[in-house]
Parts: sequence; C-alpha cells; structure tokens
Amino acid sequence: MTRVGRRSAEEEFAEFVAANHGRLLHLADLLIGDRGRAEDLLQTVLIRTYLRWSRVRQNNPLGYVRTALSNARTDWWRRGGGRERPTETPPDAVTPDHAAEVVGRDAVQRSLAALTTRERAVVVLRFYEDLSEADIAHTLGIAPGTVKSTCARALGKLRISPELSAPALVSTGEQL
Amino acid sequence: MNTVDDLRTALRYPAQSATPDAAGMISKGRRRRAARRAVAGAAVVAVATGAGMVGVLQPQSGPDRTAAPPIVGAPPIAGAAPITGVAPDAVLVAATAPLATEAPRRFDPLRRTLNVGWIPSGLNGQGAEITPWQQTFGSQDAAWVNGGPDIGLVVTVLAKGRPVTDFTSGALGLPREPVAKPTEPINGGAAECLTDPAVPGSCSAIRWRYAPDAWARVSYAGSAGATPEQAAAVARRVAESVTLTDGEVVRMPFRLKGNLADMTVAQTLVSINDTPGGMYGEAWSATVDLVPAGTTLVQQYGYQGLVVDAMFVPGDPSGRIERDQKPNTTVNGHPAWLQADRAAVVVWGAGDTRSMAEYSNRDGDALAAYANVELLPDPADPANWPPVHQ
Repeated sequence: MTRVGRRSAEEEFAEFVAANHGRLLHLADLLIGDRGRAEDLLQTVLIRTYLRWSRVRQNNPLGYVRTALSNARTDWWRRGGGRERPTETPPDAVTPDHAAEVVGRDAVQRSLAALTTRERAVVVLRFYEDLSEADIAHTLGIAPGTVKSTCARALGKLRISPELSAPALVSTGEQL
Repeated sequence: MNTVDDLRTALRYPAQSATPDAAGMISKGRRRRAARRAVAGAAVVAVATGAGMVGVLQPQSGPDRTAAPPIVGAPPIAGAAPITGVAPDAVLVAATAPLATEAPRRFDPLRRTLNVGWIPSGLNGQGAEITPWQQTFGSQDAAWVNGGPDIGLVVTVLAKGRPVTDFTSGALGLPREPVAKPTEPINGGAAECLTDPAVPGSCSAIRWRYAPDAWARVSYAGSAGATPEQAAAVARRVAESVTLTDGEVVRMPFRLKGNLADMTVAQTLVSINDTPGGMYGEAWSATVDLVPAGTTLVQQYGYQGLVVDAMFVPGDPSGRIERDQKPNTTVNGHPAWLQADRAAVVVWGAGDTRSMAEYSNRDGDALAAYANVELLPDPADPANWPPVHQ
C-alpha cells in the first residue's frame, strides 16, 4: 500500500533490482559457473531479499544479497546442483552474435573451475566486487587472515592458468 | 595473465543482458518461498473421516501419539461444507503431553516441543524445522501450483522474548503489509488477526501469545479456505490445536557418532512427503546443521559448519537424483562423489538413500565427518527412526 510521500517497500525493492540486477547476475555467474543456474539462484536470493526487505533495506541490501548468494549457493548445491566442474561444452547456448562474449566468459570460467569453492568466492569478491579483505571475511564468515591466505593460494593457481593468458589482456598493474 | 588488473579485466567479461522481472519476483516469489517453507514434499496423513462432525479439539491427554481418531472440523459456516481435518505426522510434532508452562528463550533444535493437533484436509506433505529461535511446521496444499491461490499452511512458534518481527516471511494469502486487528483469544492468549484491508472478514493468519512473552502464528491459504471466512476458521482451528510440550528428541534416519555427537546442532529440518513427493520424488528428507561445540549461534542466513543430510526416493535404490554428478570414489562400498577439496561428499545407495556431509563455508574433511554418520540399515519408514544421538 503506497503512502503519500513515501515509496512503498515494493517500489523500493523493484528499484533496487533494476539498479543492481546486471551486476548481481554477473556475480552469481562468476560464483556458479553456469549462467542458467546463476539466474535461478539470483532469483531465489532476490525473492528472499524481498521477503525480508523491511529489515534488509535499512542495512546494506547489496551486501545482504552478496552474502546470501555466497551462502545460498551451498543450499542449492546440497540438493544436487553441483559445484564448479569442468564442462565439455559451454553451459550457455552459443550464438554467433555472442560468440566473443562466450569465449571470454568461457576462458574465465575454466580458470575459476580450478579453484575451490572458497578460493573462487574470495577471488570474485576481491577482484570483481572490489571488496576489502575485511569485507570479504564478513561476507563469507571467515577470518581476515584466511581471506588473505586463500586469495594468495587462488592467485597462484590462476597465475599458471592457460585460459587467461590471452595477449589482448593488458598488463598494467600489480603482479600476481 | 600477469597482473591483478588482468584478472579484474577478465572477470568483467561482457555478458548478455537480462531484463529483471521484479514484479514477477514479488508476485511469484512469495508463493514459491512460502511453499518451500511450508514443506519440501508431501505425505498426506490419512484423511480423517469426520466429515460433518463439529466440535472443538482439545489437546490429547497422555503420550498416545498413534491414535488418529476422526478429527472434527472447524466451526461451521452457514451454507459452507464442513471442513475436515487430520492429525499431523507423528514424527513431525511432539507428543501432546506433558505440556510446558513456559516457552524457553532458546529452542533446542534436537528437541521437538511443538505439537499441532489439527490440520485441514487437502494438504500434501509436511515439514518441520527447529532453530534456536523458532519452530515451524508447514504443509503444502495438494492443489498448489506456482502462482495459484492455494499455498498451504505454516505454523510458527517463537522462543520466549522474540518479537513478532521475527515472522519475516509474508503470512500466506495476505498482502505484504497486513493489518493487525484484535480478535478472540486463542487458548486464553491475546490474539490478533492479520487481515487484508481490501478483503472484509479476512483473517487467514492469526498470531497470539501461546505462552508468557512468546508469540505464535498460523497462516493458511489453501483449498479448504475458499472464502475469507473459511480460511479464517481453518486458521483459528489450527491455532487452537497448537500446544507447547516438554517435547522429545528429534528422530532422524541416521545417528551422529564420535566428534559429530559433540558438535552443537544449529538447525534440524525433516520433511515427509507423498509418493511421488518432493522436488526429486523423495518420500522424506532430513537435515542437520552442525557447528563447532561452543559456537555462539546468531540469527543469520546460513551457517559456517557441517551439514548432514539424507533423502529417500522410494523404488530407486540407487539414491541418485537429477543433477547428481558421476561417482569418483566409493564409501563403504557405495558409489560416492568427493569434492576436490574434500569439503563435501555424497554417497548413493546406502540404505537406498542419498546421503551427504558437507562443510559449509569452512574447511573440513567431509569424508572423515561422514564416517561418523551412521545411517539406519532400513530407514524407509520415518516411524522407525531413532533419536538422532541415540
């Protein structure tokens, strides 16, 4: 029920979804490695977010969804969803219009598939979401020191990944 | 890839756009979640044969939990067919005696103290969840389809001192922001109807003080509540049958041994379904969430601990379900899949079940943990399950 001078909870939620859906779907895809499953998971998490919106909206809803995506992934897997696993074929349909996108995505996903669940989450939250180690520790419910060691271990694996060695990637920053 | 900038660039690969459907999430999501929470599957309790009988069910005396006499219906409504009901599955509710006089500030997830004495006919499976802060009994309507009006029944009792805002999910069949109105007490406890202001007479959810400083809520949106008055009558009827007891130990299709028996149980969930029942046709599923002993539990989504889970699909001794991965090892002679980092193991066919142990958001050797999970040799019938730690 809309009140004068105040957006309804549903309007707020809809605006939140519209503003963040693309980013969150990408995050879910990075965490899951399967675009279709990522959409399912994100929808599930957003539904939960909506049902708790009166609380969540006051306290970093993006952080809530980010944490829920990381944790919900476990729930999803528990019933047979499967974790990161090498696939013989790209999980999404490849069409000529999106071939370049799929190639880039596929290379990243193949590299991430070499990581453990936690390593993958840490890498994604650190280098896609640009969270600090403290924020990652809070999101995943682990110690900051564990974030640091996990990240180092993951980067070591990625450094030797042949999938991410495309010459088009420009090297300008901190060495892995 | 040489630098973290390379990695950042790679992670931001272009993606196909997807148009979010927030309105769809709002309209469908509430139902989906409500249904999932109501129950993961189904196991219709024998439908009582008391059609046409009218009366008031009082909590049964004594520990008898096998008798399921014809249970009378909700209060009659002029011109409406009598509403018949049944007793919930005895595995999912506590024995009715002895009654507790006070709610605890925290529930023990291993101790089932909620008794629901009456539920309407037409439900299709039941589930019960216990956390330190609340116990929930739910059942999905037999007529439920996503997007339909018939969702099911949810009964929730909160621990002492928990506020009504702990009822986080929307009450079934009501708008997101229902209006609370005083109504007749439930078993002597102050009660409020949760009403849809757009529907006169609606009261498909009732919350009341079931014990000093402790709230309960029943919500019902199902096929026995075709009119607001009928739904209200069912909700009240269920509410009046709710009692808190001294309880009994939760029964599971497995026992926990060794160091698992010393861990703190954060949550238990058991669902008993019809056949075919749950998402994968399972007749039942049972889950225990464990955290290290001494962990201070806080209300949150998900735990950092160990999850032990088993499910049973009748007629399929393989234990495998859709989406399962290929076995890569064996456990006790059964095909199994062990995750590369050993944090999770799934075992198929032990006792004809699919069983698993998984460290959730923490490191651990799931195979070692699974060694302390003793599945029953023949767990098919939940009535034969023992207390989880026995």
